[in-house]
Amino acid sequence: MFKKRLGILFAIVTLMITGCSSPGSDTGSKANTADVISQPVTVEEVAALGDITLDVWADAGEEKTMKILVPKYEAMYPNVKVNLTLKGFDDLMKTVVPALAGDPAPDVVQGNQGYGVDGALVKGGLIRKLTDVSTAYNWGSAYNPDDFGQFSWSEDGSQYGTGELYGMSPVGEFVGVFYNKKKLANLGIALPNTFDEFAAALEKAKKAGETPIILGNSDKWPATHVFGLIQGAFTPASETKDLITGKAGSSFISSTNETALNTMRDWITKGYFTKGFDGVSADDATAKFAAGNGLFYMGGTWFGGTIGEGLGEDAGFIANPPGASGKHAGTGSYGLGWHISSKTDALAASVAFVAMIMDPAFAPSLASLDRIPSATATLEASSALLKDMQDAGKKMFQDAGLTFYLDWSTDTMYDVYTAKLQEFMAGKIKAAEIMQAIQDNWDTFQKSRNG
Amino acid sequence: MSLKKLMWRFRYAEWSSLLFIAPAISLFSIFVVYPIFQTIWLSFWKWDRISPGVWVGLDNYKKVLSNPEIYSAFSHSLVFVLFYSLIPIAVGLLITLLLLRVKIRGESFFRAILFLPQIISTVVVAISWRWIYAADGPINALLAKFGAEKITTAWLGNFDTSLIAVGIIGTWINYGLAMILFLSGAQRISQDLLDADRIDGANMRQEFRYILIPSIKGEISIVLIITLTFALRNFDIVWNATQGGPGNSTNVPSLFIYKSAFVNRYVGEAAATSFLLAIVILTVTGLLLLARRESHD
Amino acid sequence: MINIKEKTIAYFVLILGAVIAIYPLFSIVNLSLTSKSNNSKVQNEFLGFYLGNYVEAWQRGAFNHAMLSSLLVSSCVVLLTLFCAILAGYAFALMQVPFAKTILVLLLFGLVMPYEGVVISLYEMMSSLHLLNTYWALILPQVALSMPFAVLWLRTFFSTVPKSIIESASLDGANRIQSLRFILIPLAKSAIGTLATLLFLFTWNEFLLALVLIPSNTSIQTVPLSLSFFAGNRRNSEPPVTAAAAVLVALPVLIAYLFLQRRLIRGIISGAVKE
Repeated sequence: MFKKRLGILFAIVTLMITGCSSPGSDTGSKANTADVISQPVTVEEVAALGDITLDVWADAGEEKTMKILVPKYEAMYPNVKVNLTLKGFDDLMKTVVPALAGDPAPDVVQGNQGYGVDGALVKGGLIRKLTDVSTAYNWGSAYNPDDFGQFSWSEDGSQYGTGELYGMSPVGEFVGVFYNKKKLANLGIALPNTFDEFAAALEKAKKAGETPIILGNSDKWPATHVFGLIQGAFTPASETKDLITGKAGSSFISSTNETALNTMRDWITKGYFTKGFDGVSADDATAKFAAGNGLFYMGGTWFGGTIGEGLGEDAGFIANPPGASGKHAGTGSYGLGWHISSKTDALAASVAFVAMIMDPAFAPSLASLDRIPSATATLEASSALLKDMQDAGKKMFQDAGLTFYLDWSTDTMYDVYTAKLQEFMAGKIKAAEIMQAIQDNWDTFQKSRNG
Repeated sequence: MSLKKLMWRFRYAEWSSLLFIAPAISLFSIFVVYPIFQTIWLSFWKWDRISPGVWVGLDNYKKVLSNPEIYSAFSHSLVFVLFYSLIPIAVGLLITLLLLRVKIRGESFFRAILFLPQIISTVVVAISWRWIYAADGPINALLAKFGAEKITTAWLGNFDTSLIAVGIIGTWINYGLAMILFLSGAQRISQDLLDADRIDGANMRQEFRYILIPSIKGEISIVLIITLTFALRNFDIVWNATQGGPGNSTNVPSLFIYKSAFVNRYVGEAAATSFLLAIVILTVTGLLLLARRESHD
Repeated sequence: MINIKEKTIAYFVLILGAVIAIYPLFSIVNLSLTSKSNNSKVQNEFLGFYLGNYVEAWQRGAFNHAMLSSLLVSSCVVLLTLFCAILAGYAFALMQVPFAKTILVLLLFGLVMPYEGVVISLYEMMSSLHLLNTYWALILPQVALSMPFAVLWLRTFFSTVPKSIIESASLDGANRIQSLRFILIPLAKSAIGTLATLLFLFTWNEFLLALVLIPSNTSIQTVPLSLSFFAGNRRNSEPPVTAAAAVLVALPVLIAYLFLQRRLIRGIISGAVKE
């Protein structure tokens, strides 16, 4: 009885499996890599496309920027209608790769640096090389060419950091230290210039009964930015960047990283951070700091708006205090890169769109939204906090101190790094164990990439 | 089944009945049966939705089974079985026993309230409990009021409490269901039997064993099946309460499947994991159904 | 005889159970009515309650869209499932369906099979059919996944109908469809009603399928999904506003429950025992 039913089941299985083909075999991409851009795109070239719709996918954080850019673009190229889709960061990261692989694919998208998203896009031949566009528009003079590495790949997507340019962003985003000016003065603490002075300031604040650092880590990533700051004080930035871009022989296991990790753990046991930080969200923590709680907040420049609004004149910002080397270093990079789909049938319009974002003439608009333009030209700052952030940016750029994000280094590093760091901070594992876990993930990925 | 019997079946089968079942069965085949086999099929491939898939045989299974995170995810599921299924059933039984003799007034009122957690969207449930467990939420406020400030914590953000905290959400969802079904089953027990029993000097434990359990066996197994599958699936609550954190302390197989299939695009590994999860659930419920049938006979 | 002590304990336990069941809801309603700042606008108060969070949640969350989507999806699922399941349930209960046992075992598999087992393939299927982010991507799988429960539920009910009623109908010359239409369905009204309510609830609350199959079209997202995104979105970090959103989203179900609970629970109890 039962055997018989099993037999029928088995027959169905065989039937269904023979009807299957290998997955993904029909995703032949019709890439139009033939057209080379040698001159800036003209209005006439775009007009020649006729009435078209340009599909653009952007991170929700770009909302205000797009509100300025899109009308400007549509005024200049009246035959193009921009169809903008804004997505939350997690959602964008999840959907952008399959969307570009699918049909119809959007024309212009934002990806994310590193092997997880951009690497997959390059490897799948889903985005177009922008090296020719960069030359045509002379991005090399408007931006620091040393920074192009984070968008550069070998054509098969196996090597990161060098090769062809596949994307670009007009803004820099990096982690620094926000501080509450009034409280700092009340506690009689001088603005720290070095890492040691910073550590001393924390101790003094703690003794005075103040929460030295506001942290909310239920989203798992905020603590990695705090670690980036401490790591920057001990480990040379170039070492961290080599690991992230997958340079052979790189290692996360080092005495300097161990010192940085143990310093962080030490700060936790001394109670320097918000109590119960793993149960507080990043946004709630930001809101708390903006409402006047705590002395320092280690956060990205993208929090400048919220904090400036809350603390007003009392809001200040400094670059990560440097360690013994005297060089500023810490988590940060250019913003999410803009890419052009390799399947777009509106290449001229797509190039014109990206070129308009990257145009240094657009930088003042970016600055007016409290963003930090990555163009080398200097700008008027609209507020004291923005001035602070721009100055800090200059220091970071000068020392080539932006150490990117460790999760760029492999396609699953985000999960490993964030979870292990939480475990380490809670005292569940030792420094050696988290370093080993990160290195194992890196090694496995390098092997699969090369083999 | 003998050939003769099979022939008999064929002759007397009403082939027109196939028209009646056609809409239901075709939908079920296309959107449930076929996808199951497709999942198994995908589990033999290395595929990232971008480049063409590569046949890897059982490699995905080897990878999944050598990943310590999977074992910890399944062990969290075991803890959830305790909180989502066994504790609610124990609570339900205990209360039913207490109420065995009492004629409850306003029974339908209590039923309506006790069933409430079942009908509310799991997302709403997770959001409510996120607040209850929050560092500045009601639980900690209460503790602080009684001078127990020392043990206040962000309950969902603490490695030592997060798993249990998520488990308690499941207990809250399911205890009412168990209570309602057990109480209604217990009403079949005649008062005479109970009274006679009491005169014989039976104590509560005996009453529990020899009267209550046998008469609501059916209800117990239904609740067991419903809550067990809920505990082993358990995506919604974890996703909306902790996303598996802090660390991986509340990670469960379904979260792992979702992340590898749709975030990291390891489609084959995700398919292998979901096949394994389905096997586990089918085995557990299959055993329960079998045990139930035995006890019915 | 029951003594007073026993009775007191019984009611104490029942009331305690009820309070625990209702407390989480009470606490977010409470939270949703607290104003975040002291200088709240007076026009947002009603009978002394602060309603500003509701206004904010409704405006920012666009839950009217989500509720319409959920209503549409749930109604379609209920109607389609009922249509298919009544026919199939009738056949399995009262006709000699070939391979009935094999098919029923398959349905039983489907009943306990976790959605995780099919969701990956459903995503691929819908994406190759270009149905991702459409109502169909949600409705069709949800109907199919509800089918085992609905068919088995109705089969159980139909087979309890006394044979004499059906036989007398066929003597009167009623064919199968007629006897189903005019005799069995009216008899099964309350069983079908309970089933419809349960299917509606399951669909209305389904989260994983919605998350996977309509990931990026905000205009057709269902209520649980849009609430989950709203609560996780970085611009909506004030707990009172999130609480207000949760209450808003739960409200229609709660109101419907208020009217349907008696019959629903009675139906479930009798259905559960029969299964």
